[in-house]
Amino acid sequence: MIRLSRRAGACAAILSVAVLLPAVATGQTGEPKPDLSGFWINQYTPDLSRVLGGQPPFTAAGAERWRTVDTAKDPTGRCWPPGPTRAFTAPFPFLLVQQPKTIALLYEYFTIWRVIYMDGRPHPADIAEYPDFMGHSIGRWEGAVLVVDTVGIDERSWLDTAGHEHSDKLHVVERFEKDGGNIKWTATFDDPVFFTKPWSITRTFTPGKADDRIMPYTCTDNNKDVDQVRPNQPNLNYTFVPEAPR
Amino acid sequence: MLTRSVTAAILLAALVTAQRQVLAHHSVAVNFDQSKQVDVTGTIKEVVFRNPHSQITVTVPKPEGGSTDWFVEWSDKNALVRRAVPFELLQPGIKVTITVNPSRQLPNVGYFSKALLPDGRVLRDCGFGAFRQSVAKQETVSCEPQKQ
Repeated sequence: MIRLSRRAGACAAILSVAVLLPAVATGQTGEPKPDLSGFWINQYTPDLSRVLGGQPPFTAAGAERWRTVDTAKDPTGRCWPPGPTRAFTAPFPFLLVQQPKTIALLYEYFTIWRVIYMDGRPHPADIAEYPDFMGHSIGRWEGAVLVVDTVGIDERSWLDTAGHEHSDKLHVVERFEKDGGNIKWTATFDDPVFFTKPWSITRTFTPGKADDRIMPYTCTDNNKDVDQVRPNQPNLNYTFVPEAPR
Repeated sequence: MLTRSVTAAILLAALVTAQRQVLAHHSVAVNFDQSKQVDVTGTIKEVVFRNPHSQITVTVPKPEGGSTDWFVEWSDKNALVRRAVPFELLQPGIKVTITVNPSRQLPNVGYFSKALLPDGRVLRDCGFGAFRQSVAKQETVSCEPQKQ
């Protein structure tokens, strides 16, 4: 057996603890990260402009899409997935399962999920060729805040029930942080095709009942008459006022 | 707020052949006039409590004879279960008056607001706010029908 000097022994002890530390999620500061796991209730938000306090900063193209949107063409009406942020503003709860290398979001709405990869990987180089209704998400910790970066969101998804749309260039950044017993969620939407600059909304997730569970939701279970849905364009009188150039 | 009994003269020919039509998905305010209320009095013909939407069909007698069906849209089943709304009290065969917000586009279609049961109690969805408060206070969620 190798006999270590007292100093070497102390160093060995410190090193062995340091090797074990990565098993606990740590950020730049090295302290343990908050555990966001739990059963969370959304704030139902069918129209993001109500939270924003006005319409988002449209480009001319984005404004024309808003003006002419037909709510009968809501993708969720055809049981297409809601997209990463609309799942957080729908009136259904979700489960967040946090592990060091992945965070799973399990939504009751559409019984759909998102994975946030926390292992430092980048977005795939070919993500634009394989867009996903729920996008591709990578995350990191900034102190006690979970920051999530999502691209590759299929442009057929809508941002909300009111019909705010986006292009395949949409880049979403979300921030999750504990706020008392709640989670404060801020989503920033950056889409140069639809909007002249990024814009953000903030919502609060509240904890559910201790004995609650994710309940079944099968969109096609009672989605009768979807072929008889009538056209409905509520924004035809929308007047686009471009922002004055700075 | 406009309330009118459906049993008074609704004689639209479209009613006779009206098919059940689901409106543009999910937005109650867009599809139903929430400033108006219509009382639909008749016998429940069918109930479907499911996701994404529930429906109640009410057969309403016409003054001149015969009857017509009203289609009442309601919440997804999960919300009703979570909010402890006793929707099982609405059964085919019972006589009710369901107050609805009428469809903006279609006759004989409305969104559920409340239901007057045969025993005189009123059934309604107590709402998301009440549910969240109960959860925050760790109370049992309850939404029993009340006598008016």
